[in-house]
Amino acid sequence: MQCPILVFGVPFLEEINVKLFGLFGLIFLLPPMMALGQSDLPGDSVYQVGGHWQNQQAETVELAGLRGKKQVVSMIYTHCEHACPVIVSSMKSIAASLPEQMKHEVGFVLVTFTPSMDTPDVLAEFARRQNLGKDQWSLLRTDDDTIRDLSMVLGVKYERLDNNEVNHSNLVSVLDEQGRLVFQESGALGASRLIVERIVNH
Amino acid sequence: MFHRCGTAVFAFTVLFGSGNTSFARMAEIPAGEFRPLYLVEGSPLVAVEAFSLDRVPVTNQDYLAFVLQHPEWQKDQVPAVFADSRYLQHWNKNAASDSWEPERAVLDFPVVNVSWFAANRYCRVLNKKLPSIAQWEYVARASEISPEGWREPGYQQRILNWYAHHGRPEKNPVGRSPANYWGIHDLHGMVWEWTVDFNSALVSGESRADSSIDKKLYCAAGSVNSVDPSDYAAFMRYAFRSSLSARYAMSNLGFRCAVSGGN
Repeated sequence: MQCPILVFGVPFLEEINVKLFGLFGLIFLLPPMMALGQSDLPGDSVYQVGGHWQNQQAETVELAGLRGKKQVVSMIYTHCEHACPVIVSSMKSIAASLPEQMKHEVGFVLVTFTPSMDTPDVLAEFARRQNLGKDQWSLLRTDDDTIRDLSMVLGVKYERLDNNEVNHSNLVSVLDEQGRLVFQESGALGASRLIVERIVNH
Repeated sequence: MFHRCGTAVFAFTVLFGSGNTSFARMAEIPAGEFRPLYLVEGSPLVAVEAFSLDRVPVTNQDYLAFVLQHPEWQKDQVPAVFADSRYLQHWNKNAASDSWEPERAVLDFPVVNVSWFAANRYCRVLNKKLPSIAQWEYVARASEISPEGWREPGYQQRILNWYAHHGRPEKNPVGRSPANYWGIHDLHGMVWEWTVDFNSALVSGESRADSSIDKKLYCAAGSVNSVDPSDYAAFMRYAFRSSLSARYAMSNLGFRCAVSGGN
C-alpha cells in the first residue's frame, strides 16, 4: 500500500504534460513544464486523495486530471430519490447561469456513493437522461475507501443504510484550478445563484 | 559519531522491535448486536460482525516505524489537506538523524496528534482498518468482568470522571490498565480514538441541518428520549465525534486498528 501522493508518479505526469501540450500549445508550454513536478499538486489540493477512478465512459481517470478548470463537485448516487435530484438540478442551473465566456472554464463533477450499483453504464444512462454533456460533466466512481477519503476531505457526512440508500450531506463544493477548496454551499436550488456569483467573482 | 550510532540503534529498535503489527496483539470479538444510545426505544439493534481489535492503542514507537517506512507521513512532508499544523507536534527534530521523532520516554505512550487520514493510512498499510463507530462502541460497553459492563453501578461514573478531569492522560504507557472483558485495554481513561466512519455521526436526513438527531443529541429532551439516559459517556463520545474534521490532530486523540471478520 502506498500513500496517495505516490500515485502521481512520473508516467502519469508525462501523460498530463502531453495533455497540456496538446491543449494549450506552445504559448503555455514553458510554464506547465516548470510547474509540473511531483510536488506540483498543492498540499491543500483535494486531488491529493488520489485513488483509482472511472468515468461515465468507463475510462480510467485520475483526480489530478480535473486540474486546469474550476470544478463544481457533489457526491450523490443515481437511484437517490430525494436530495440528489435537487443537487443535480442545482448544478445544472449553475452550469446554465454561468457567463458564456466562463462556460469552458468550469467543470462539473458528480461522485457516486454507491459504485457497486452506479456502474459506468448506469452513470452514462443517468448523464444521458439528465442531459449532462461529457465535455462539461464528469460522473465518477471509485472504491469504498477512496469515497470515504474524498468525503473526509470535502467534509461530507454520509452513512449507508441497509436498504441501499445513503444519508448524506447536501453539499456543493467549488474547487479552483488546482483542486483547492474555494467554498462550499448547500445543494439546495435556491443557493445556485449565489454559487454562480461566487464563481464569477473568484 | 556516538550520536549517529545511537540513532541507528534507535531506528533499528523502532523498525524491528515489538511493533504493533502482529495479530497476537489483537483480540477477537465475537459477533453481537447493540442499540446505539441515540436511537429511540423500539428502533432496530445494530448488528456487529465478528472482528479483531488491537488490544492497546497505537504507540509513538509503532507510529515512528510507520513513518520511517512511509516518509510521506513525516510531519514536514504530509500534505496540508491530510493533517493540520498540529500533526505530530509533540515530536522533535533529531539533529543526528535529521528526522522528527518522539522522545524515547514516550515511545510506549499512545501516539496522539494524528489526523484521521494518517491513522487510516497506518491501519491500511497493515491490512487493517480503523474500527467503525459500532465496533468501537460495542467493545467499549464491556467492563472488566462483563460485556454489558456499562450497566454496572459506578461504570459510567468512572468514565465521566476521566472526561471531566482530562489532564494529560496520554502521558502513560499503553496496556497498564486492566483489560476489559474482551481483553482490550485503554478504551477509556487514556485518549479519545478515531473511528473510520466518525463522519457518519449525526447524518439523519437529506439536509445539512440533520435536525432530528441533532435534537436527540443536544437537547435535554433528547437525553430523555434516548434508550438509556444514564449512558451519558457514550452520548459525549457521539458529540465529540461530530465536532471532528478528518484533518484535525489533537493532543488527546489517538487510535487503534481493527480487522473485520476476526482471524
